[in-house]
This record gives sequence, structure tokens and C-alpha cells, in this order.
Amino acid sequence: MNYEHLDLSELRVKLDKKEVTSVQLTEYFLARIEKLNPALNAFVTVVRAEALEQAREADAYISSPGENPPLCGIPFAAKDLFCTLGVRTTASSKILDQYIPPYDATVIVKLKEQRAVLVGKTNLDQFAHGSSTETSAFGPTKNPWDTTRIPGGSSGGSAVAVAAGMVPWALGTETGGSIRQPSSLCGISGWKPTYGRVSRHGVIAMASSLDSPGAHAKSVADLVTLANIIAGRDPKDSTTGDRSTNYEVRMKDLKGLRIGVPKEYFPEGLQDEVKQRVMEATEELRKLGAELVEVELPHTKYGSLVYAIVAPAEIASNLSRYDGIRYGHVTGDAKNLLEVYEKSRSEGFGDEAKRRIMTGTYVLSAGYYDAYYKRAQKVRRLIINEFAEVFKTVDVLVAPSSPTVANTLGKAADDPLFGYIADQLNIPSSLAGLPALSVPCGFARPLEGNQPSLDGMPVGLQIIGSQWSEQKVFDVGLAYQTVTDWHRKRPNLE
Amino acid sequence: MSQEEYKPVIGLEVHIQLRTKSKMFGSARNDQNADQPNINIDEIVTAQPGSLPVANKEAIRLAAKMGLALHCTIDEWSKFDRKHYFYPDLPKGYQISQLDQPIAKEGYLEIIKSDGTTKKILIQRAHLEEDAGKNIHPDGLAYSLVDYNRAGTPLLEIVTHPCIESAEEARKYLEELQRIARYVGASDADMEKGSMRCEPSISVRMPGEEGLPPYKCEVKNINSFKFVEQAIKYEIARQTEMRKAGLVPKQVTMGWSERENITVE
Repeated sequence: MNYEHLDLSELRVKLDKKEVTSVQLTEYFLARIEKLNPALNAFVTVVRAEALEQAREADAYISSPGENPPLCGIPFAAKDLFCTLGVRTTASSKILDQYIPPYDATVIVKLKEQRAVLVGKTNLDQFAHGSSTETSAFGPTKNPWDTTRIPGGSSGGSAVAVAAGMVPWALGTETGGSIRQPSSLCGISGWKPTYGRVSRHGVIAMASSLDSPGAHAKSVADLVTLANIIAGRDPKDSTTGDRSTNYEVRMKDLKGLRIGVPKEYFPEGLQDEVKQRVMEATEELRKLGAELVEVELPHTKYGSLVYAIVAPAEIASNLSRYDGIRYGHVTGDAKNLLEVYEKSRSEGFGDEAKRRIMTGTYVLSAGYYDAYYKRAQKVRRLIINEFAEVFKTVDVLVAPSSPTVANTLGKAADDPLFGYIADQLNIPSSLAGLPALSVPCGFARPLEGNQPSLDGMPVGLQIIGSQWSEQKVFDVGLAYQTVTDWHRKRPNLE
Repeated sequence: MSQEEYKPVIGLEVHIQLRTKSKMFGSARNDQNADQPNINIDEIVTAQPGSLPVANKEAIRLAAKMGLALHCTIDEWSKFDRKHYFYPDLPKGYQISQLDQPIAKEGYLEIIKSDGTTKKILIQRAHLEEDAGKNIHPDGLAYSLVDYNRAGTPLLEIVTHPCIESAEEARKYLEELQRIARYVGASDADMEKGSMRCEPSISVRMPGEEGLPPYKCEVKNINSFKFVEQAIKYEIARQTEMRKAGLVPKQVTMGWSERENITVE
């Protein structure tokens, strides 16, 4: 039985019918991880013993009478930003290389209540600073469709773990594209929740007004199951909202739905074949009954500029606590207090973190705060208002998740133009705290490097909704996945 | 020229620890009488990665109550800000405080001076913030220790306008503020135990000088009303000497030496 082809509902049926035990399932995925991780480097930490212990407990629970929670006994992975009690959590950075959190993130607590089985922590761009997973202190993660290419980032490890069938699903986070973009580049489904939909308590902070913990899975139906479990108000996170979490898998058509196609999300620099796949996808949505409407979001071009100020500012602040005094890397070489700070942080942080700390500190400093941070937040408000306006006339927006397919490793840093355009597609909706999905919508041949196969590399379609409109976004993704099977394609890993 | 014409300009910044069960931003216990270091802590107090602050409702209530007792306007909208600096007793690398929208603004406290006259001491603002931990430097050792029991304790910082004109007025203000804090149940307000702290800022105006003098000296680490009074008297004398000689005293933060009864840089 190839369990890596089954989705969550299928695994639930097999477990409930005792056709497989959680221990067997966990062993199966642990074996796949052991076989595939050396080439893909998706995992930073694998917790074999702990996972099997959890699996045994799940099996005991399944044996007892009564219904089993949806995720009971099913293995999963967590991006290494989620604090897991007793399990090494590194943010893929040397500064937290040996950090063992004394507590669980709220999301992890919820998954433990489900008796889900954590098999390991996945690789990311260090502290989530990046979109290729190349800035990890533990080496880059490789795209399973073509291992000379990036998986995207910052949640590259989680996206690859799901795409390569190393786990049925994985936790990710998004601050400015970090769930949507790697999901798109790896050919899987990803959910970036409304800001405040999922608790950030225990999620290592990057930019506090942007961070959205979410998930990667094989289908939107799976993401709906996950949403109902991980979303919700958390008294430990004052920014979570009180809305209900009764998301449904509603197999409906899209009659009566108005879908906006924003002009600014199809710019020069968008790869032709990517555009074609996305237009083919919108045609499917039209056949399902939706009305497609061209819309304009003229403030889109300011998104990256706002982000370039707001994100480093919040990052610099959130990284202030890493000084080696209570946890994390401390230098062996300090002669005085100042050197404890300077050396520990210089040794522990990667280059990108340092860049962002410098930029962020500058734009928040006295004399510059008004001109930079405050002004950027005002422009952010304009972007937010622009989305609110457009959602008065359409229900959701669709666009490519990424302007190109996955680049070759090492290329991303050299190609500022594409970085800029890629950011435009994801950042504005992140700044506005909107929910979004990325779903696979076909393949396109890369314009540089290897040609992995006749088909090419995965292309993703993103669906963006107004705040708290998760159900509508899910509806569109679910309907699309009933008439297409891109989400069932798997990379050839031999 | 008589001393009276060189008018002292004094402002007082007072911090009181609020009497809540738990800390300002988390549920770790607020207990200043802990008999061991680092027991009233949790992931929020020690700023573990991923930890988030949750505002203490009782602290906000007590702050508003003190504000009302001081005839302040309590804004319906207030916010917290991060004040960044690096020091081992500051776990997050920033203190959560309030910068431009404090919970209480523009009030006063009335004192009765020894000559029987009353004076309204004008209060500029009162805001909520969290206390830092304690650094301990054991003698003769090559390292220091940090105790986070105090870190995260709710503080109300009360700032007067620089309208106090003598050491006696300052002392009366502190005594009355302490009475109010205790009566209202906001704080034990005990200088010796650290639940009330006072930092006077002192400057001296030249005869005929308009507005505030071009400098001020802040004095920290004073742990009784008596010493506040002495420190202010000492500074007034020191600064008046200098201004008489045509000098402008250096703007510095000073400490109070109990032993020598003087301020030191």
C-alpha cells in the first residue's frame, strides 16, 4: 500500500477500520523520510522515538470505543518555527541550533489533543527571511520535481515534505508569500489564513503584524479539515479573532460567484506558460459557473516598498531577544557585556537576518520613524482599503502564485527583477491580512537550467479572499479540484 | 542676588508596582517576596521564542483607577509601544511601555504645605509598563547573575509637569501619592521595598530666565522620601552655585550616595 498517495480522509478510514495502525503508518513515513531526506534536505530534525510513542498512544485511543478525531494517528511535520516542547526548534538558524523549547505552540497543543503524530521539524529560510529556503543554516532544501531547483520559501521544507510524500501534511507559516509560493513551486495545495485566524503563540516571530501560521497538504479538502482544527481564538494570542471555525467541504459549483482577475497581477515578466496555465484555470472556474471580472488594484506596486520597511522593522524588534543569555548560542569569547551581545549575535545570525536588523533599526530610529515606518504604515492602510473596495464588487481574486516556475538553486539571489515581481503577487494581500490558497494548476517549462521532463515544473493558482472569508476561498479551490487533477500529480522520485 | 531668585524647577517621575496576582503581560505570579530567584517566571517572562504578551486586565483597571484618583482624563483608546535597548535584565531586548498614548493624562494632586497653603501639583501623564529583572554582581566573581522574578511586574509610571519648586513640595507630593495608591488599592507603594520608586529631575532657573532652563539633572537609586528630599536640596544648592558662577550644569543622570549624602555621576 502506498500510503503517500492517500489524503487525510482516506487515511482516517484506513485507521478507523484498523486496516493499518498508526505505528505502521508512522514507520512507513519515517522510512520514506530516511530514504528521501538525504537528497532533499526537507527535515532539520526527525523524532523517531517520540513519534512512535505518540503513534502507540494514538493506536490505544483508536482501539477504545468511540469516534476518533480527524487527525488521530496521522503523521505530520512542522516548519521549524513552531515551538515543540522537548523537541529541538531552530528557525534554521545557528543562533538556535540547540534550542529545546520549554513549551508547545498553541497549534501544536491542538494537534496533540487530536493525537496527531509529529515526525519532525522542517527546513526553512533562516528565521523565515527568504523565498527559496537557501538561507537556512543547515543547507538548502531541494525541489523534488527537479533537485537542481529551489522549492521556494520560506516554508520550503514543509512544501517538499508533502510533495515528496514524506508526510501527508505539514504546518507552514506565511509573512509575505511563504506558504503560497513554495506550495506553487512544489505542486501542492497551501493555505495562508486570514491574519488572526490561527494562533501565533509559540510560533517564532518574524513580523508580528504579518505572520500567519497555516498548512500545506495534498488537497483543499485536506486543508479544510486542518483549518477546522488549527484555527480559532486563543487567549494566549490577543490578535486572534473570535469567528467560528465550521469550514465545510461543500461540493458546489460556482454559480453566482464573481471572481476578480487583477490586471496588476499579470505584469511584464510573468512567464508566458505560467500565464497560460492560470488563464486555463480561470476558464475552468468560468465553466463551473463563476463570472470573471477584470479588476484594478493600482496600489499593488507599493506593496513591496511598504514591506521593505515594515517587515525589517518588526523583524529587528523581534530578533532583539536573541542574545545567548537565557537560551540559544552564546559566544565563548566575550570579555565584557557588550561583547556577549555583539559576538553571540554576529556568530549566530545569518547575513539576511543581519541586513534586516540594520534596515529595521534604522527605519524605527528617532528622526526617521515618521519618514519611514509611519509613512509605510499609512500606505499600507491605502492597500488595505483598496482590497476592501474591490471585494465589494467581487467575491475572490485569482492570480498566479508565482511569476515563474522554480528557479535553479543559486539563481534567485542574482535575479532582483523576478524577486520584485514575485513579491508583488503575494505581499499586498499579506499586508492586508487576507486569506489565500495556492492550488496546483498545471506545468510549465522553465526558462533556464535543467529541463526536468516534457511537462516542466509545477504552476500554482492563488485564490485570495476578503478577511475571514476562508469558506469562499475554500469553495473555489474545492470546486476547481473536482474538475481537475493537477493536485494528484506526484514527482517521480526514483 | 538672593537664592530665591534662582528658582528650582523640579519634576518627579514615580513608578509604582501594581498589586495584581500576575504579571503585566502573562500569568506568571506577581510576588515580590519570592525566596528563590527565577521561580515567578514562564515563557513570556523569559521571552522564549514565540511567546506573546497578553495584557493584564486588573493592571489596566488599577491604572485607570489611579488615573481617576489623580483627576486625570482616562482615554478610551490607548496602546502599548516597545522601548528597545539591550541589557540582561530586559529579556525581550525591549520593554513594553506606552509612548504617545498613555492610559491617563493631565491630572493633579493637591498638597498642603507646612505654611498651611495648598498647591496643585500638575501631573502630565500616567502610563502602564513592565518592570525589568534584577542583575546581581557577586563580589569577586567573573560573572553576573540575572533574576527574572521581577521581570514583567506591572508598573504605573506617573510623571509630573516640572512645577514643583522645593524639596518640601516634592516630599509632600510623594507622601500624598503614596496615600492615594494605598487607599485605592493599586500598590503597596513602599520605597524601601521597591514597590515605589522616585526619580527627581532638577534644574535651576536664572533670575529672569523665561521657560525651562537649558538642562536638567535626573537622580536615580533613591530609596526613601527622606533621601529624595536630601538629594533635591543637595542638587538645588550645587546647581545654584554653578549658575551663579555663570555655568550651565551638565545634563546627566546621577545616583544618590547614602553614605556621603551627595549625588554622584
